[in-house]
Amino acid sequence: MKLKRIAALLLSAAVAVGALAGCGNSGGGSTQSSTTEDTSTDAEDTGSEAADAGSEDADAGEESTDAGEAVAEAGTVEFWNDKMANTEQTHLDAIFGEVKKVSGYTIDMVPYPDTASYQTAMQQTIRDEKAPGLFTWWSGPQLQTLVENGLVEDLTDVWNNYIFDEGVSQGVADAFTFDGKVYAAPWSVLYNVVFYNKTVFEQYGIEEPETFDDFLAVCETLKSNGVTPIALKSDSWAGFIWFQALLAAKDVELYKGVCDGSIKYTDPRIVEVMEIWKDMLDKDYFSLPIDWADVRAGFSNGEVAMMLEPHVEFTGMRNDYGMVEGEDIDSFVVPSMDGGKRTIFFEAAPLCVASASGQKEDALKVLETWYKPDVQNAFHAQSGYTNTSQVEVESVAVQKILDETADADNYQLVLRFYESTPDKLRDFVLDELMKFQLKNSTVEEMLNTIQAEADATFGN
Amino acid sequence: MTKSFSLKKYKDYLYITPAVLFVTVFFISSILYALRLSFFEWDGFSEMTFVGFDNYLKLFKDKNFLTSLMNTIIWVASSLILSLALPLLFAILITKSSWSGGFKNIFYFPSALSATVGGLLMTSILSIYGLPKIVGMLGRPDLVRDWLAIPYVNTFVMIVSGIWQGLGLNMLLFISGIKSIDSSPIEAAQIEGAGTIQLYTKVIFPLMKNTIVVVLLMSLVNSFKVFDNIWIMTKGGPYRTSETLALTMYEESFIRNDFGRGAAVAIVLTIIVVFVSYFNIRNSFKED
Repeated sequence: MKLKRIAALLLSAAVAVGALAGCGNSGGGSTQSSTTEDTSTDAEDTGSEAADAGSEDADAGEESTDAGEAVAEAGTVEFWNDKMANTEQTHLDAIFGEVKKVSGYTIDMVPYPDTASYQTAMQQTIRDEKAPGLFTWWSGPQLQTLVENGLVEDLTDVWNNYIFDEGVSQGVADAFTFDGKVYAAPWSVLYNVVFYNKTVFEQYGIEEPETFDDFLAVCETLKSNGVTPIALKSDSWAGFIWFQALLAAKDVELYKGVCDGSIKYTDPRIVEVMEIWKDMLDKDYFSLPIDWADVRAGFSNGEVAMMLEPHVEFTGMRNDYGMVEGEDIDSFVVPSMDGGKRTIFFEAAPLCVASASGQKEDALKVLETWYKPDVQNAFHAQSGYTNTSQVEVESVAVQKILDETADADNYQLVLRFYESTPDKLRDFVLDELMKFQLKNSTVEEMLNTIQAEADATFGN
Repeated sequence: MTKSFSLKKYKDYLYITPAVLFVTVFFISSILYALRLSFFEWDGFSEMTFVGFDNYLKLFKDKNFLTSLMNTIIWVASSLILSLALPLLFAILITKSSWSGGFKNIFYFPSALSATVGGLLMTSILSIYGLPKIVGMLGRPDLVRDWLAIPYVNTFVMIVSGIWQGLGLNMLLFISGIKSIDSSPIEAAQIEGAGTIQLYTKVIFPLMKNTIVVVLLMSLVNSFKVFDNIWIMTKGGPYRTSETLALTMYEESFIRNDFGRGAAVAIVLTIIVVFVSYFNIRNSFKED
């Protein structure tokens, strides 16, 4: 009986402490949701561990630095994101340890595991002094919304004085530019290329295609040997991947024209490209859209020969399937139909500074050194990101892609469709493209339907 | 004396005050906020713009919303039929079985999984390297495709998956309902010569009415708000063909950042659920 009473008392005390702790967390005028608070609390713990580890690394770095200059402890900057919740602590320590070494700032990372809760937390805090100094966002219309509401800092000076010098390309800056001002720095820059299974290519004596006709011949050879040439993934947003690749293979100006509304989707040249795509779909050069896990599994076992993905997928295929870049897997860019420059589409996730944040000045200081080689090398080692031209890349296959992005004579960098057209129209187009890829609409139906929506968007 | 009388008078209210406050603060205020939001256009950051009933009017002209509404009706109808009929049938069979404990565990096991885990499991089973591959090896290579990526078909695939997960709980409720029935009316009916079907339709089912109403309401409300399974398995795709109202509400609010439109979907969903639940409860207990 006594035991029962003691147990009941302990449980009551635990509940009371839990409730009080919960109340305590919501104090301080914060308007965050409970989920957000929990995440923040966890992140603070994580952040302080990272800070400690970073501090140790920083000490080590100071001892070994050639310059012999110790960077003084400068403070702490909060960094919110929804991209690193699953990153291992050792990787975070390695990255933010380097940031601390070169800037003196401790990065207190607050990771959100879910995009919706992250966006809600940002909506609630971004106008407040407690807004994070640094946070990741999405380029295109979503960044534009923040810019139009005066919520993010103009980083043009930081770009001109520091970021360009470290080898970040003008094309990336353009992706974050509105009315001539750059409002973000790159968190990650990903280049979309066609990955191919080298073993399969070698088995059928296939070389990387030099022309678009070569590319079609590669597809035919694979198909006739029972291999699915290209896998399509069924994610709702993924419909644009081959749409943009084929349009740009025909003429990159066509692609840019449909994005900004200056060229109609029903333009005969667009129709021609879509007929080519339709022909490829009918010849089964593409799989039907399938689950992403199946795309990767099929690619790794050789049932699928090609997939168009961001270059960091090298890291994913190596980690998950043991495919070594350069040996088992390599890449090429879709050849142009007229033998002109090939187009490499890129996506860039912005890293922003909240205008209302009390840490704004510190955050700007952090960005001044964020693109230093040591920091970016650490990023590359842990994530595969290659944000600057000075990143030391061991992989020959990745270096080949970086060389291509720098080869302005033969390649051109263009921001991908997802961030290049108004978001409401984009979402509509993505649905129609997916319908087309599933062979549930004709070229004419698809383009007419999209153009009707484009007319409403662009006011034609 | 007066003081203690007064305390006694208000004591009951004091007990329920925390619960009332909780519901008011966290549920009713949220509903009122969503109602207000549904009359505005808002992306989460810009100024809110009052648009009156525009969000509602646009919804009923939007083919994605209408598809979503139709999918919701299909989910509800399927759930009502299958989530009632199957568990009831299984409950009857299991109560007569000599190995009822084992069957109960087997059928209840999927209910012990979270909807997310169940969804992931079904996604793996239904991927092209799962069940479709086996079907292909059995002579139907045309069926070797991602079944969850086939528009409209995937809704039925997910309904079956949902029933697989929900069957166990409903079955247990029915079993407990059957076991709690007073045996004398059943024995009387048997003496009077009632056959098995008559026994169930005229005696047992009417006596289980309260259990059936509870299961019916639970299935009804759950099927209206079904989200987890669909989000895990298809995210409402391809091209928004497998969305239900709960998913459309999330998609519009948090993926497309159109909070006004998302709130309008939420209000429509709430009205439908309240309406259906109210009439269901009222009619079910009318005779009582």
